[in-house]
Amino acid sequence: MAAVETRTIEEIEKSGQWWWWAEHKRSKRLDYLRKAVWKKGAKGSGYQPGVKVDLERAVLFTEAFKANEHDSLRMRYAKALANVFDNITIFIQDHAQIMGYLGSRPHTIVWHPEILFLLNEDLYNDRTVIPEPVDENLKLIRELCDYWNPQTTGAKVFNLVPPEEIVKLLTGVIGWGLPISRIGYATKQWDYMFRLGLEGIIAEIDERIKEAEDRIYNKVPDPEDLPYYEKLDVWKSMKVVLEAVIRWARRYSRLAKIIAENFETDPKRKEELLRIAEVCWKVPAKPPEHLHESLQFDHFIQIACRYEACEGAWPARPDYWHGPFYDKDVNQDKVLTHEEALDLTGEFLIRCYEVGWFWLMLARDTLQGITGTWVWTIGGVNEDGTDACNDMTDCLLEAARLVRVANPTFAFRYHPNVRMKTLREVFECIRQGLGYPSMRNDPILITNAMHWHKHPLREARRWVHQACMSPCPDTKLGCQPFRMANATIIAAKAIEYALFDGYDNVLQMQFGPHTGDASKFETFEELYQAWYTQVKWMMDTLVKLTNGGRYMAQFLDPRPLLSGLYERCVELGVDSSHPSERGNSWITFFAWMETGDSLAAVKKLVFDEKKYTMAQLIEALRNNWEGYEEMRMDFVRAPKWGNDDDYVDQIHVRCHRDVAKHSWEIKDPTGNPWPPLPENIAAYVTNATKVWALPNGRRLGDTLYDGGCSPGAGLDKKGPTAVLRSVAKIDHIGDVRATLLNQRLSPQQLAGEKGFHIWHSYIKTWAELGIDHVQFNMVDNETLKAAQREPEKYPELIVRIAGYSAHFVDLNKKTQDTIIARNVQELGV
Amino acid sequence: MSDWEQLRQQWLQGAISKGRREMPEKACAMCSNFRQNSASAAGDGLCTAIKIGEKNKPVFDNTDASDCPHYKEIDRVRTDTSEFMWDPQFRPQRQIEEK
Ligand code: SF4
Repeated sequence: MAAVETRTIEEIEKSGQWWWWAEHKRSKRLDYLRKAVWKKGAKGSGYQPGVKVDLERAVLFTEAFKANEHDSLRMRYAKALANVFDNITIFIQDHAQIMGYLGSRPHTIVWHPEILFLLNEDLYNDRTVIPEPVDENLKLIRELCDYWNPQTTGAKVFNLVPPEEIVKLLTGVIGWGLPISRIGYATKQWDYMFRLGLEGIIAEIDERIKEAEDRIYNKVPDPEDLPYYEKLDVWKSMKVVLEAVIRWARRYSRLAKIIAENFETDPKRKEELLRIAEVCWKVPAKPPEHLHESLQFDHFIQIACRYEACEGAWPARPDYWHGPFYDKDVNQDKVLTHEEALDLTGEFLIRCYEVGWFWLMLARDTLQGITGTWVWTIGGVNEDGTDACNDMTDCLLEAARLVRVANPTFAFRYHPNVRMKTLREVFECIRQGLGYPSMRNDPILITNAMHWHKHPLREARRWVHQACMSPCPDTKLGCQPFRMANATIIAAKAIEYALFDGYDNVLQMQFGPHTGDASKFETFEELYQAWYTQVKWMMDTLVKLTNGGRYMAQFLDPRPLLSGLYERCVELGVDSSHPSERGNSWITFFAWMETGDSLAAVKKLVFDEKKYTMAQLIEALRNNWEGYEEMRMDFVRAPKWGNDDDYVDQIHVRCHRDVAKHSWEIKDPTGNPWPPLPENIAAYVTNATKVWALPNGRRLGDTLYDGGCSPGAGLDKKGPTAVLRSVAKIDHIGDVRATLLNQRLSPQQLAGEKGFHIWHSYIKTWAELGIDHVQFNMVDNETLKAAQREPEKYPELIVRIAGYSAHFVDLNKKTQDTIIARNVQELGV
Repeated sequence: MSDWEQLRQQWLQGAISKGRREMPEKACAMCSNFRQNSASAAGDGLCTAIKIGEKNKPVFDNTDASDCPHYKEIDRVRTDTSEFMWDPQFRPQRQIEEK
């Protein structure tokens, strides 16, 4: 049990234990709702006690899927989903104002049995999440597994790949999972939905259906009309499911009304319930007109889409879309007070935090503590380039400090004309130890989106984060229908392969192409070219599969609901996966910065100083440095990234440039390149045992570097300015899609008004240097170590991992240790 | 059907096991030659000691290893199973009784 707090608010604030401060400051409603949350993120890799899988969604989906076997796959999915919306148990939590829950009970996580046979077997074998009565439910799960496994999308994608390639893909070295649309994530097109409401979209669909039927049935036969048979099915399936979403929302409306009129005794709550009934009747059927309605609309759509698919990220720009409603209700019409808006906004965050589904252990491992990388974009500019910060931006930041959830987190689009009031709110969130917002350099990323994917300027200014890092506009042709999270490589393996002729020492088999016996390399250039061949091969192998998965998704894995929410799809009569958007692919490079550090160490010690031979190096590495400690320390002491040392930095730059060059040679299904995006989530820990010993002095099992362009933990010896100078040598427009910089700051140094000015001048330098990202942890080691010792006293302590935040106590010890090991930077030093 | 094609079928069917996976006393999961696949969590992995052509043979964590001549027991260091699956000796965490 948590300790009872007896300190005054001032004392709590001074101690830096902001979670106690938040508890005192937030409204009674927010306090209740925040404490009533069932945490769905894994602790380490297991679900929290009491969290159970929800079988209703799986049963209802299967029931209707079976009953409509003569329909197309797309229509069967649509009817199956409609059956879920019509029949899943709904409930209204005390004090809640925003409705819509993923699962039929507050403590449940839904299961999508149609996606992946591996996931299904994982559930069947899980020892904690099977609900009571266990034997009976296991029998049911077995039946569902047997029915679905052979026809899951995963099984179909499995069959796209030559069998011997599967071995490589499942190792995780190339690809992180399989390219399946239902485990990707999608940007939502709010301008379309908010303009028309779902009824307006259905009216557009009806017009298209009529036009198609005219073409097919009432015209002189023309082969050009033949695709309309297919399109007709697409439009009809969209309509089936959009109508079901409206019915689902209205079930909440009816339930709220029933409770209000028959059971609720508190007149104030009764009034609230009647208002909820009105809101849920209106949205998402019709366009929203007030803040409560716009937030409710948004939440219904996000939840509905997660009934359709495991969308593992949550691209959103809530201040941009809800800001006008805040302004109208609070500032202009004064029908809502700021405090009431804050309550709604806080609840909006909590509702997102409690969303979860049963997910593979691999995903639970790499996203410890959360259920997906739900990074919401705030700030930035409007389409005309003016500052987009508004009172909703501030309200979101204030609400975040009060509810202190680890998901969603925010990423702030910083630009030189950002309003100071908002920037102070941003700083306050960071100072209070949330680890977010991360800071994004808006002008750089707008140009970056134009450079790589040819988004026009006005659209590029509408960018939102796809997951942790990548920008993409939420416009008609910008919206990315599914990010194939599998498009990931463990980049450090390319160094390993270059040194061992393509042989994988961990997996003990030939993995990459033969690039020659490195012990016989006579020049640095030979090694570099071997590495370049290996990394290109990794990118090509990955992209071949991922392109296939993306292209085939429209046939193997259609998403009628998501398709019906996209103007592009409604207009063309195509599935969301049809590659007719502008494109926004990238390859996530896990473990990237080891590359330059390793190459530099070899160049210096073998080829320049000739202290060791290649043969000696290979032998030492083959032995995982065992018996070569003195030599290893020489390689550890070789020049490292993050110290503004051109010797090593220019090697990093060259690697970046060459990889970027190759990105243009490999195209995605929309015809656009596949740029690299180095970052790590928590994979820098979980991949530690998949990457063999490296010439930067790392041994098998040692933690990898935590960021995308961050120096290795403790290897940046020259302070924060040197880190920035190194990082600025990368071209953040042309070399990468984005890249991630982790920094730890001292909470003591950044206290008070002076603290804000120190931080602000750091941010100005960072922005002027053209670096696209930076994020901060501002919790001291003393607190982190105390939380390791007595986790029960620190349940609400939040830290930034790499691309996402999590409660510190939900991380495994090794990940916790890596955060403690990061250097704390004193700014202005 | 090629060896690999057969393996694919086994793979798909291997995942469609009728019973809940139980660990034999000696299983691939406890062998240091086993590498759990990281793109799944359904207990499938690769044996680094037995090859098909140049590549590792797919096995499951609960494959009975009582007759395997290459079996080499892992060191079980940690006892907290909330730790991640590949640590410290690529040890899959579930269903193995901790020592
Ligand atoms: S060596 Fe034998 S016991 Fe070990 S993983 Fe391979 S098949 Fe299983």
